[in-house]
Amino acid sequence: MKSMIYRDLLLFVKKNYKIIIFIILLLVLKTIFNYNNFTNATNNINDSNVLKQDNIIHITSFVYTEQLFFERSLGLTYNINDIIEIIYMCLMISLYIYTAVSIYFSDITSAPEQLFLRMSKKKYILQKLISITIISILMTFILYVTLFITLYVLNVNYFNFELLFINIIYKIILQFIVIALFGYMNIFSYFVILGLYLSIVTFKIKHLYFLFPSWNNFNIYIVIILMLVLPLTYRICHKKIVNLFRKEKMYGL
Amino acid sequence: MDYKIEVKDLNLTIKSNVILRNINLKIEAGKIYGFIGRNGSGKSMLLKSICGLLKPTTGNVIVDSEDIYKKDIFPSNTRAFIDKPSFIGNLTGFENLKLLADIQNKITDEEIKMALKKCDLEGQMNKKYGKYSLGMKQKLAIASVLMEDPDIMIFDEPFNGVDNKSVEKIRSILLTEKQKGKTILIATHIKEDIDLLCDVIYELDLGEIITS
Repeated sequence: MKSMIYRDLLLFVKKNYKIIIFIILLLVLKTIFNYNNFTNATNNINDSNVLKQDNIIHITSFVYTEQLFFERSLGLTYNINDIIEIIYMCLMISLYIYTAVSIYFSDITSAPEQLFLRMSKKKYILQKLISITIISILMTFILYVTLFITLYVLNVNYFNFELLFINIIYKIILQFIVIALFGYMNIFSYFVILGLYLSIVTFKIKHLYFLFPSWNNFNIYIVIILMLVLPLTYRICHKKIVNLFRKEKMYGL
Repeated sequence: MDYKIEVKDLNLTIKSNVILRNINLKIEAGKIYGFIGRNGSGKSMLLKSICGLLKPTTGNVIVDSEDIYKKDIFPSNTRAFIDKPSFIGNLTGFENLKLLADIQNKITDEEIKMALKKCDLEGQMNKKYGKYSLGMKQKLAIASVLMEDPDIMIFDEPFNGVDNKSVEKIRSILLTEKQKGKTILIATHIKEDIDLLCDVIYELDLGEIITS
């Protein structure tokens, strides 16, 4: 198992190191860009005219807090009126979707016989799901470290470890759903998942911030969802694995 | 008589294209079987079906008395090299084989080195795979099949890009394996490659066995 995870990591890094560097650079640039918006927004809030009775309720949900600055820099949430933020968030989600698909299908497209004649389907799928989880955690960790360094340089004293944890769980759920759907829906599953994720985040921005201000309850639900998605993904993957070899050209893999 | 591999009425259709049609094979242990045919005749697809990688539309593949598609398993104690060799470019030949051997953890580093030596790669085992020539890549793929001493060995175009001296060497390795009771299946589009080697040769065309 260990050697296979190492193999997946090596193959992934070798194939995608340019994409990883691009995303890291993008994160740094977006954080600097967000920092300017953040300081401008803070200055506006400090202007006492904005805080009139009529405005206060309206602006509460849009107050640019440090947490929001942090989340937007990572592409975890977005300003619903800003197209660049939406594109940036889609890119970040796409990175995780691509990661899952790339890891899961790396052996199906090249010499699958090397692995499948050495291990059972059950072991293969479990190992792939573990690889996806570990590589995603590593990737998220790298992005967090990059953000931490950028924030340090920008003199922003904020870091949210709870968000790191919940972000990882979010992305793993997303990746497992993509893997489960991919064999049936190929490229359309990407848009379905992207749409679903954006809807959830928009719903979260509009409603859940008020329902779960501390996030603790909501985090428990996310973990429960992961527990439900994991066995479901495993069962679906097990059912369709051989059919994938037949369809590999169809998927353009 | 118990056959090592039995293929019964195998048909494979992908998106209305008939890939394999009515294939029946009885493969005995300790023999070398050759499959010849032009490109696109269905040789590789047949070998993939035998390996459990391509579920037939109808028919059965029985390996060691187990119907692999009915039981939803891959054949046990079988190793194969189909299509082109595929390893990790920034690892050495030895490290690539070690990574594969570690999955089952059945053999030692010495046995991996032995397989590399058999395939004339002893001097290149510490060279990065990315720097291997096509012939060396082929030989590494053959070594990956041989190293765990499987009962069934499947090779698709094993002599592609391999120099004459190495072809002779590989032939003699396969004959030695045959004498040890191994079952070997080889597909190629060049009849001369396997004429001297095989006990039985099947010719495929348009997904059908036309002569044996």
